Amino acid sequence: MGKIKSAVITAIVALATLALFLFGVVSCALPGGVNRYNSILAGIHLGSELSGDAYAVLLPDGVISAEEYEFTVAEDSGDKAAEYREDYTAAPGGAYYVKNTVLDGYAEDGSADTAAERTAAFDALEKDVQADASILAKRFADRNLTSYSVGVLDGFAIRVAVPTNFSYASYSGSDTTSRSSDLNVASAAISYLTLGGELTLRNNEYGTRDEVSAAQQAAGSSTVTRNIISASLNVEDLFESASYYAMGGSYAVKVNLTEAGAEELSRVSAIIADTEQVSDQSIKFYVGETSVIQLTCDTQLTESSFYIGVNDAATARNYASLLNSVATGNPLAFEYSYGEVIYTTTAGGANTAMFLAIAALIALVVVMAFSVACYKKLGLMFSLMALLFSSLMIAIVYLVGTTLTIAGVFTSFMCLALFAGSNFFSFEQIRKESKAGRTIQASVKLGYKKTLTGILDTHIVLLIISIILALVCTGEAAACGMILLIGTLASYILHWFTRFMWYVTMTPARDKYKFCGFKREAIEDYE
Amino acid sequence: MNKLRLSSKMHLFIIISCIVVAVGLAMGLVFHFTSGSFFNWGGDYASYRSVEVKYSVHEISTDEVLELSDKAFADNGVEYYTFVTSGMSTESRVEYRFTASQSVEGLQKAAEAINAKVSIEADKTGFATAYADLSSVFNSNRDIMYAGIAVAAAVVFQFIYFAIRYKLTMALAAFIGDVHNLALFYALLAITRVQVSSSVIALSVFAVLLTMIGCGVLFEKMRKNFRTDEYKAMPSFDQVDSASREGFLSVTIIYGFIAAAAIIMLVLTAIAGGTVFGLFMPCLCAVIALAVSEYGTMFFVPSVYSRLKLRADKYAAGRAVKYVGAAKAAKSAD
Repeated sequence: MGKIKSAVITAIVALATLALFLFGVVSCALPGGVNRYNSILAGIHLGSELSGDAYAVLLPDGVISAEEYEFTVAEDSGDKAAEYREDYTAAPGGAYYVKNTVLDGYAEDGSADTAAERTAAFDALEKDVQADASILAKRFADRNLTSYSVGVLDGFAIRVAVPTNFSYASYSGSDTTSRSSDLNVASAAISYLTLGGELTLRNNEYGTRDEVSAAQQAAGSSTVTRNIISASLNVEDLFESASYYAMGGSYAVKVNLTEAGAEELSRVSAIIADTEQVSDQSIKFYVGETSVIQLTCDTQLTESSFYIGVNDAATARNYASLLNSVATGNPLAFEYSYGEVIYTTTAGGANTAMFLAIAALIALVVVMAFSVACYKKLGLMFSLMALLFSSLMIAIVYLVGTTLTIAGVFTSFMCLALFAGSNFFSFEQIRKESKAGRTIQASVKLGYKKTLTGILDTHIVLLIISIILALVCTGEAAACGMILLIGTLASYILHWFTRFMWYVTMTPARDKYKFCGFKREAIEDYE
Repeated sequence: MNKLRLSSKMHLFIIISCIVVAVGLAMGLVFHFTSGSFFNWGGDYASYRSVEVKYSVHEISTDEVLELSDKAFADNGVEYYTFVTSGMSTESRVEYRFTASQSVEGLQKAAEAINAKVSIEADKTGFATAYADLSSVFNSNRDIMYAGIAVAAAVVFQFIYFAIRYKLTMALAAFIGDVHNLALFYALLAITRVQVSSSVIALSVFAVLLTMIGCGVLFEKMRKNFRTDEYKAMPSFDQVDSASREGFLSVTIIYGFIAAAAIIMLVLTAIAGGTVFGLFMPCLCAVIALAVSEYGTMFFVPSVYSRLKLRADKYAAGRAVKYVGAAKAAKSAD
């Protein structure tokens, strides 16, 4: 390769890397001051310890907060205040008030009018809320979030929290569109996963049970639906599981049926698919009185599983988790209501994400400075590759949609250390070969050859372990597995790209025995 | 370092590790019986108590709420470990979180004091509620269980890979090293009372990964060196010691770089103070993981491997005698 060609390739690679890195990490206002460029790094979704949580306090039917009670009683001097005083009893702890009719439901004689009966009723209510919290925790765990939290507040309310997964641009308010989209995703997760009531399969026209339509008519619903499952069957006996399914950009909920379920759904779908009998060709999945998802039946279902298409991954995961819970006999004991979903700052401090980015930048500069100090011009080449490595990591994590957490950032540091370690390992071997009297070309060739197996071994082990972590773990550890997978692949590919850049840059070297600070000891013998 | 004979120090390393693990176990048990948890579980996994203050920013500023709340907590002898803020269209909130050991009465009194002050300051628009208990035990099992399964799968995979790629004795030493480092890591978590959050659970996986990388680099170096004539002439212990010394720098550079990143973060956390305090515990945990990995991989593993290698070499020599004949073996040894 000639000098000009070498210089051109080096310049192109350097410019492209710098451009990629700048686009990757630098956010700035655009001329005019209206629009803003948000970097790729600022667009990566962050975990709850970096971007905060969205939470809601769920109150079972018949339970109100002390705040609501006290405001109503204090502000309203009329009938409502009197009604509240008469209908509600303060729960132990004083943070909640429970409607007397709820407590009566737990009393054996249908009226919790003695202190002992009220205490027993409160205990039973608390146990039911605890049981519901366990079910909710399982639903949120199935939802595959990087973190979640389900806690019982003073025994009578449930606090559920999911990560907002804001990107830094959304978190800092620079990207309001993404922020509102992220908020919608978090709200939808809370809204769907906390639905109370049992699963029913319904159709607008065909049905074997009348209770459902009667309930809807009593509630004044404009749409009356009918339960399509035979009265002799329990709905939980029909389903094995429901799971999230994604393939080639399409998302669905996969529903697996038991033998009895396949038989019943086959029978029902044959009727619904027949346009002469029924004009509404859908099977609607209701949880309580909320229509969650519907399956369009053009033909009779004959398989033991079927897929229901959904628009996006988050919604598919919400539906899958909820259906899996209710279809396998785990409905909530209560219907829960909540005021609004509240978005908090991160519990670790509002600026954690920014400082983590600054620390990462300093660490990158440290490794680059170390390489330049140790390997001179070659260190510069490595620095360029380290920039490329960082840019690639940022870009791939962004494209794959992996959530970045504190542990994920440490995993990224480990990947950068792996990349640096692999290269320094080869450079040291090259230095050794060069000192033994070989030309620089021969040293490079032999150095890379001798370190090939060690570097390959480490990368293979890490690659397989990262796959194990990504597939087996849940939450933050799974996100770390994904980042490790990306980092290991990038490290190995760029290790060889550094070798290529060696080839490009050493071509114009005049002295083939002296290059990049490596000097052959026995050089005089050859001159 | 050049004269350090790791192989002869195995007993010392075992004693040091046993002491650390025993102290960790003892401290964990003491805390288990006195405050109900072996580790210092964070809010992700343990119950905590909270006080939530609601207010309108049109009536009272967040800074004023923070200031009067701090005073109320100090007056009632309770101390929070973190707080989160949120600003909605209708009202703003600050949620203070306390460990489960904080007094319920203190929290109630503090909430009442805050409520009175916020209501006066904000023309009766504020409201503070003290939750005696927020039981979050529902979260713990799944993340930890799957992380445990993944770590176990990774360790078994590494054992199989090393057994095929290198030697059974190396695989065994790496396996013992993984178990040793994990035990040491968890003991140090119990001793230092680092708050165990979901990040820390993920970082325990990170500790095992570091050991694996270190063992990989070390055994690659050993395998290469053991083939040279210079090493073949050495006794088993010297072979392992020399190769470990040569591999020390490579492994330390990898660990050192990550440690430098963690220390940079700790320094930044100290400088930045209140707005980044969440980084402190994970960084501290990462530094512990790195220290354990360095000690375990560079000191403990070679010393254990030297014993295993000695046994393997003796066994190989015995087999040579059995199949070749004593005289012939002695001749070939010469």
